Amino acid sequence: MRSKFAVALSLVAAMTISLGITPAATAATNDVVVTRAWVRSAANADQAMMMTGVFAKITNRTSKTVTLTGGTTSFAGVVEVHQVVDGVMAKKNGGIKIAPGKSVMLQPGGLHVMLLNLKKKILPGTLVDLKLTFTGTFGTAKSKVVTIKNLIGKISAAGGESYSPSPMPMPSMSATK
Amino acid sequence: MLTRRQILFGSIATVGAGATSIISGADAANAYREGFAAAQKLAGSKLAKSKLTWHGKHQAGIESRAQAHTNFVALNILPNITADDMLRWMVLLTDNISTMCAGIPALADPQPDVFVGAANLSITVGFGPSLFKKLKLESNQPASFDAIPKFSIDELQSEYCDGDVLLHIAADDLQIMNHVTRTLISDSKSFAKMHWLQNGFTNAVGTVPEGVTQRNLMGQVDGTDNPELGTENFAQRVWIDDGPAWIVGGTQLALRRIRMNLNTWDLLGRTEKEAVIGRHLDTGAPLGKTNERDAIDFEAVDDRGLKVIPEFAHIRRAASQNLDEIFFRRPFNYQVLDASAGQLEAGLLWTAYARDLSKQYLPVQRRLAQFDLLNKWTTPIGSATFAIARGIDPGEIIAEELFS
Ligand code: HEM
Ligand SMILES: [Cu+2]
Repeated sequence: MRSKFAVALSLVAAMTISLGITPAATAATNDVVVTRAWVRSAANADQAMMMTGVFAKITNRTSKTVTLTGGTTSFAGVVEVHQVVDGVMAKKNGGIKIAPGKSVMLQPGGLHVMLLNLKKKILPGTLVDLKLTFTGTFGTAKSKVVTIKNLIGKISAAGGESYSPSPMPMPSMSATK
Repeated sequence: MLTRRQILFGSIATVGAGATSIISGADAANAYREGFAAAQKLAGSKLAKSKLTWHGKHQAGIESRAQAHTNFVALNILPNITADDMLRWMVLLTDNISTMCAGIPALADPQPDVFVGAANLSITVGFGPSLFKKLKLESNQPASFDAIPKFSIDELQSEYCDGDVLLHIAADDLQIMNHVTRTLISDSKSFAKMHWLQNGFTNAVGTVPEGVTQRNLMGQVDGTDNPELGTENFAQRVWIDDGPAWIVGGTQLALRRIRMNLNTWDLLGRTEKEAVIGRHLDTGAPLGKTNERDAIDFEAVDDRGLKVIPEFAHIRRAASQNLDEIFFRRPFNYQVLDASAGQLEAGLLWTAYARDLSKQYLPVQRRLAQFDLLNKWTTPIGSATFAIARGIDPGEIIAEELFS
């Protein structure tokens, strides 16, 4: 029986290891592999006109440096590449660079992809579409779009920083004193 | 390649194998110690790497050996939760199941380092009668699925009864099992609140040989007369084969928390204890027989003309009176503090899995409630039923058809 979601979910990585199945999300490209992707939801808050962060593991399988520059989604007006420095997050100018053969972790409190001007609520368990744009050397092409079909909305306490509105200090830093 | 045994026994093994070389006792002891350390290191993470299959026609955690540790958790949905919300919850649970049962930490796990492996983790999801009522989904229930009626022997405590959603977690490592429980509960908090948690256990892996029937805390071999795993008989008793799509390949579960009065049970002699059940304590054999698997002879009489298996014996009262009355039991033990008595309280998280509890389990339960000498030392204090969704293939979502 086929699911109406045709979900790859985060088991993308899990399945390739344990079942030998190549899911659609990674089949699109062997050059840049995005796994373990999720998006931070707000418990039940209305996120319309707000923003949130996307986290994932990205591996560069090409022989040249690739750069994550941005993306698109039906859930947000703007997709930016961000970093958190000294508890304050800001746009990462020049994008996120990944050396050949290396991986980067986008995670709360660090590098992340920011969805701004949200058009729809992202609740826990909401499945979000996302296309990420990379520049680099992909055969003859100089850029590549990686499609992530079903990014899962998840609550996470990690990182402490709030993802809206931006920029902001990390509230947990003062709260723990 | 060295086998574990060869490493374990080091050079001693060469002597045993008939080699002529003579080694000193000190050398042998040293080799043994080194070999043992190496073997330990190799074996050290074996359990963490052990996995059960989480996908397929049936959910995991039923047609398999009971793991060493379990949490049965019931949750009640928050007000205003809709079928659509339920589906989002199921997306999260499905993702958690497919990753953690494959030995990978859940997405966004704040403490991923605790999750060192699956250790035969299973996570089983089910829904109670109250959920179908709240969401007005009664027409999608399996046939004749309902709450268990109250029996005269019951002293039910509401904190161990009912529940909208069941998460049944089990693994062979207690720390992993508890971490998984917390991960699942964290991802459930936008949808539901915990109603009860019942923690249970059996022996650890390696304590008793594989395939040996477990014992309960009354000391009895418990689980002998049970449909055999992997058989057609098991499938016919347990797995639902028609009805709404979400339940075909699923089952029904009756979970009874049954307290044992071990303080009075301890006072019985061994022969009396054996008569209460109708089986020998050491072998688990039916009274009058020698092996656990020997057929029960309910007609046999002793030289005084008395029934070898007494009229009041649990197995006589519980034995199926017709082919309908057969179900699968997969119990776990529990032991907690009874604070009001300043005593330990022990018992069973007793389970019945059946296609149709009303036909297979209820007649037996009615008969036992009427009369079973074992009732003198056992008291049901919790009771709940859940419809367990069918298994899923990778890419599907648990109970998707129910909430779509
Ligand atoms: C604390 C409560 C209970 C204890 C300690 C207990 C213990 C046992 C033991 C030791 C056996 C014999 C070994 C075996 O075949 O597994 C047995 C058999 C059985 N028990 Fe129980 N039991 C309990 C509750 C129940 C309940 C509530 C039911 C059903 C409503 C039940 C149904 C059965 C059945 C069907 C058998 C197999 C009988 C046969 O040989 O055909 N038991 N139980
Ligand atoms: Cu940001």
